[in-house]
Amino acid sequence: MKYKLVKSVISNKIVGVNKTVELEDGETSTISIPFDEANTDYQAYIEWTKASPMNVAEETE
Amino acid sequence: MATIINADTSNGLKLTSDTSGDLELQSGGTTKAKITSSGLQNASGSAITSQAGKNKIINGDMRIDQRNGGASNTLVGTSTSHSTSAMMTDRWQLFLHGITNAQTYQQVTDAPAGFSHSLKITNNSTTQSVGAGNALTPRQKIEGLNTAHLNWGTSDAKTITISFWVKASVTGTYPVSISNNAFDRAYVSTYTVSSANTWEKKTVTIAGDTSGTWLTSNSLGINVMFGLDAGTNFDTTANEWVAGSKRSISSNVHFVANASATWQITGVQLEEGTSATPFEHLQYGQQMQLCQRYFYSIGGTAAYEFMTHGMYVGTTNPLLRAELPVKMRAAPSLGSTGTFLAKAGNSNLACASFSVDQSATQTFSFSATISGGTSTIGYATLMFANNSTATRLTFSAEL
Repeated sequence: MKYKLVKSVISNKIVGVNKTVELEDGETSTISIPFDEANTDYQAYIEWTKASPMNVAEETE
Repeated sequence: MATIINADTSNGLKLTSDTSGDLELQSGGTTKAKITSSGLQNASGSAITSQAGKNKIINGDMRIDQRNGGASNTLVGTSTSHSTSAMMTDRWQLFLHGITNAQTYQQVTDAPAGFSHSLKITNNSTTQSVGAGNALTPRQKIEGLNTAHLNWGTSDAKTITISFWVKASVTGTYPVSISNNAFDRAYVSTYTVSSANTWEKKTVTIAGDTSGTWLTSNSLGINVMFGLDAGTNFDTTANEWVAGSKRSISSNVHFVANASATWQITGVQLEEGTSATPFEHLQYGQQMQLCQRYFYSIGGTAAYEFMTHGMYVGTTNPLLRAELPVKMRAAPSLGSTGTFLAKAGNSNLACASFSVDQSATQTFSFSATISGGTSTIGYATLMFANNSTATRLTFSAEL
């Protein structure tokens, strides 16, 4: 699993994070998560960042 | 006392008058309803209010299955310390911790009279003895905005009744439990499956919790859990409120220890009051809209189904916009399945790599990348499925 920050093409600000997980068949699946405190995927991302100092999302281009 | 109007089986109308100011309506001498200074009441004195929206469970009859469309899926933990979950029929989540025996879940058409669908969970053909901290729990998380009126966590906490139909291959005692958002308050009740592979209706009444913190926002209000298996860490005493994360009693059935065991449920209703009333059968469209507050899917019905439209903000980057049919619980996460095409002039180019841009509860914009050609900044575009009814965009704001 990895996270990558997402920058808005409208505001040029970081607005979310893409989460990519590897599936059992070797394929990958990605969801794009907005920075909304009520979004449970975002809550899981925040928990992931708190779990270890090594857990840092990739920077966006 | 009260003035009584009785539809007597021998004498027809029978009137007994007094000066209490109260009125009772009887059928064959049995009180069915009352009118008092407090208003209209049922025979036990509970207020009779509007029945619309009484069921706080969404998709209790399992008719909506946006994610899976009736197909079976499997969930399994990779180790005895691994937690994972999956959404089954809409709003219904299968949570497991440390269950390495695969669990299959599916919307099926086997249902009791009056229902068209049920949710079925099947244990793998092998068995597992669960550890102390392991659990297998189908559950529905109810949004706090829909449970605020119960006043839980206050001295005015209201009683609820949960009713449902169940069919299981393993007879015995199963738990139904309630917890709050923090999993630090719990109430475990039980029901008994008396006959294997037979639909049985069950009812559980739970006095509201006068303690603890029960959220009344768009976060998790009440967590309704139908335990299929749990280790001793989750055991508690039945029928009382306790602190901590509890969801079973020691004598519960251990579903995972029974090869190919099955468990089905439908007609789930959670309502205020001390008794179960008939299941609230909503219109299909109403039920779908309630589900779409938490999950919405575009696609799946036409090979080149039109998904979204937008405008090129880079020569290979369209900014696309999706309308959400109802205001979602939170700004949703965007997912996708299958392959997509986007118009670039007269060409249809592959379109992928979706990233949120502006996410709100009723509109969602996202950027994408086309490959195999370019377009012109400012030009409009359409995005559609690439010749597949499996192609979908999904928006999730689940609890």
